[in-house]
Amino acid sequence: MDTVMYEQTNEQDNRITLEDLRPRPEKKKTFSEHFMPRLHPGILFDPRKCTGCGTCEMVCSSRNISRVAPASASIQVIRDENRIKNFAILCQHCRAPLCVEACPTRAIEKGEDGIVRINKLFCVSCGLCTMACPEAAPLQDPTTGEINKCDMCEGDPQCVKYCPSGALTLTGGKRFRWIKGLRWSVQTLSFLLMAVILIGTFCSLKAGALSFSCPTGVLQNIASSGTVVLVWVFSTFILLGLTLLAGRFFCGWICPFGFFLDLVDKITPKKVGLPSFLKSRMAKYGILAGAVGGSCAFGSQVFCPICPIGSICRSYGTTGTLNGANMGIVAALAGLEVTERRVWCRYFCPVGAVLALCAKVGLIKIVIGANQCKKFSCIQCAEVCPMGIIDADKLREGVSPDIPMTECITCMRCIDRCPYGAAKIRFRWQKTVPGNIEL
Amino acid sequence: MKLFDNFYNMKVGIVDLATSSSETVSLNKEMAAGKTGGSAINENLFKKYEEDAPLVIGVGPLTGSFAPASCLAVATFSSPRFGENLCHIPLMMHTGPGMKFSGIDFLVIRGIASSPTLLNIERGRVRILSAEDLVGVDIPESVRLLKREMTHCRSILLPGPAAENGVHCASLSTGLSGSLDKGGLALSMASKNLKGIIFCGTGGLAFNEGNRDYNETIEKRLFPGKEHKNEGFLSMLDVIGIENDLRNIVKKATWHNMACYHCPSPCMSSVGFKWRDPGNNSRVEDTLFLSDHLGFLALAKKGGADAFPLSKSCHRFGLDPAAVADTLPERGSLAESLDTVEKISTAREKTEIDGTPVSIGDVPAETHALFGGGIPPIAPGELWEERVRLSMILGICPIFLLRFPQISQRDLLQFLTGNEADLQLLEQEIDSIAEK
Repeated sequence: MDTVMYEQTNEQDNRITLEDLRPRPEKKKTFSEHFMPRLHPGILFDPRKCTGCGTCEMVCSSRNISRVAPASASIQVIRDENRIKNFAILCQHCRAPLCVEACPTRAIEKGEDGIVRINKLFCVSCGLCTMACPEAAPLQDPTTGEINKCDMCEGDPQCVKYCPSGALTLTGGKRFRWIKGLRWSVQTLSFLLMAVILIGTFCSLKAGALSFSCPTGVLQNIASSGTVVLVWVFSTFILLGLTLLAGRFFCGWICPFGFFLDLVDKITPKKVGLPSFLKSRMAKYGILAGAVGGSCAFGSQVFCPICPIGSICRSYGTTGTLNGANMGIVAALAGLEVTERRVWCRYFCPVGAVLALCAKVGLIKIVIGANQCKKFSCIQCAEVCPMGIIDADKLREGVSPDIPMTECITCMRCIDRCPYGAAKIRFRWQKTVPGNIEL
Repeated sequence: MKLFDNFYNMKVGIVDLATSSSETVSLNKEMAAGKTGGSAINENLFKKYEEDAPLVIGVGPLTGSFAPASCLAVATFSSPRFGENLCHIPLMMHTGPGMKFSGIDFLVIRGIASSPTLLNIERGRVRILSAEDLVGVDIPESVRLLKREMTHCRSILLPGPAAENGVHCASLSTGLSGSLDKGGLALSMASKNLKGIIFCGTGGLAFNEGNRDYNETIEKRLFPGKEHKNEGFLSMLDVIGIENDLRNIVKKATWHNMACYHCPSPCMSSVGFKWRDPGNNSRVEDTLFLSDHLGFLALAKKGGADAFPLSKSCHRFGLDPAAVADTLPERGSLAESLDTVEKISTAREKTEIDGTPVSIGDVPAETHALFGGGIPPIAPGELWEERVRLSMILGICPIFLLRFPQISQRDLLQFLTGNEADLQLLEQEIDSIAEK
């Protein structure tokens, strides 16, 4: 029995696999790609402009199979006379294409130029790519059964060129993301101001009649001293007022520890999973309650000495020395970034918890309108969200996801990244744009 | 016909509904000599099978090609509404390309089927199917059923329940969008017990590769700006002549411009509108596809904003909105009007709608009736006739050619050939067809 098993194993070892014939290219992200991600080309479809004339299908088939055969084109316009808009199925050349993973013969590859191509020599027309693609963009030719997929006409898409109504546009991604530039500038300045120039200013600052305090620190003060000092309460108004107006703007744009985590995230691979019992967004409220309760019990602020925001503000001493204990706290919590982005902010930060309660009744909200989203295979908004609150599955289903403002840090990465302008800031009372995509 | 090898499948489908048989034959010289295409060949085929009271549907050589607005198929038959005279109805949207890419260029439907029948054309073959399920079913439901059953269907022609009931003012529907049929094509189909025709359109044709750039040159001449004009149904109403007050009323709806196959200048629209349903007294958000300019205008003149639900109701039963508008009271209540439309759809008698062709603008009644009575009179009489005839022969949308008289006959013929001798020959052919 043992011998037979040995033989079988040996046979398996000697077998030539697909991996030997067509090995998958290694997914390596270069250092520069962390900071300047490669731009991905794509064709944007605007249903408001599309008249359903089918010129795109016509020129596409003409270029690909040298015949005008709209049914064999790599783009299909769905004309629904029941609704006042058309819809186009076309390859989005996704950043992480599911069709590539699904293809059993590895006939589909994503090129260095970002274009996803199908190699017809290897394609067996099984249709698994069509099933895997959320857009169903690899289209099966009704006459030959072959799979037709957009190759973007090697950079000069004919559908875009000939579309009479301008409903199709070629994009290489947004070249200049002004929100990103502004956010990084504000974050850098805030970090320098709080951690280097005016050390420790986050915890408490008094400049003339104006005073500023951390709301969590004030809560602990009140709990530990048993007295409510109105000046302390008023000093939290700047931050709470900002949160009421702009959500957790502080977390996304100003917090020095958040900025530090963003920097760490750029160079940290996400290789380790966070244990599921730690993944509770309610944990931060527990920590806040614990901090207040502990302060009450011990008569002093129990969380402030280990607060990472305070620690990072106090790490750089006035004499130019670095504070080892504070830096240790910061480094330890930053180490959590190997699991997810902004883990501390997502699950544990009690300052964030206070701001979240405030943001719940704030003036603004972020909406992602699935109707404007148009292409639900893109999900770039979900990819860039540091708080992981955009439900990619809902977008894939064509449903507008609910964005909890208690968790949103108003970093506006989704708005900046969305190529369709579907992610927007709205006032709380404004009717949400989104409807669901209906096919 | 060698000239047209790249432009035609060179196939004619012949269906005998009486015997439930179909065959596909080659488009030969006898059928096509000196006729170029479209309505001219249709007429030849009609005469050939005249004894069987045929219904002929055909495309032009440019249908489905790179020529602008190459959407047209033409149905030729003896009109039950216009005194059994020969009538050519333009079938737009994607009907022409759908038919051509289904592998046949002309379809001759002879005889009367013994039971409700549906024709499905795919890859050069005509399949005769039972259509028992479509009996008495309104148009939206029929479209839904057919789209569910047929994997590929590029274009659907449906006569609708009104034609089934023998209503004199029935009108054919291409999908859900109605049509310019005011000559009784729906009645003609219904009289053959034909419940619908489906063009699968899964094939293709090579055409002339160089035409893509030639088309771009033509379009640049028409629209020098970067983006093409995108005017839609409402702008067509302006051209026909809608009163300002009425325009302001109908403009309030949400308009989305829609175009037929490869048309750079849309003249149709899908419309989102709200109305109060008198049945259950609730406010309803609804949509409607508008393609019949004269029909909608007639309804709007009678009912203002009520024209939207009334048009929807006409589309549902397959009724000609212009004829229906004649029977409606001036500014009557919506409930009454909807009730009237429903009653008309089941009324076998001719009611007050006699269907006699009328002259519109300065287009004579006979000429207007010859081309189905639905093409808006947006050009002077003689020019109108010349342009419409040209469109029917070549397979280009007549409304497009009427709107852009700067596209000459020669411009269009150059899509077929660049050879001067051939061009002259074609021009002679078209002139002789017009003379006859």
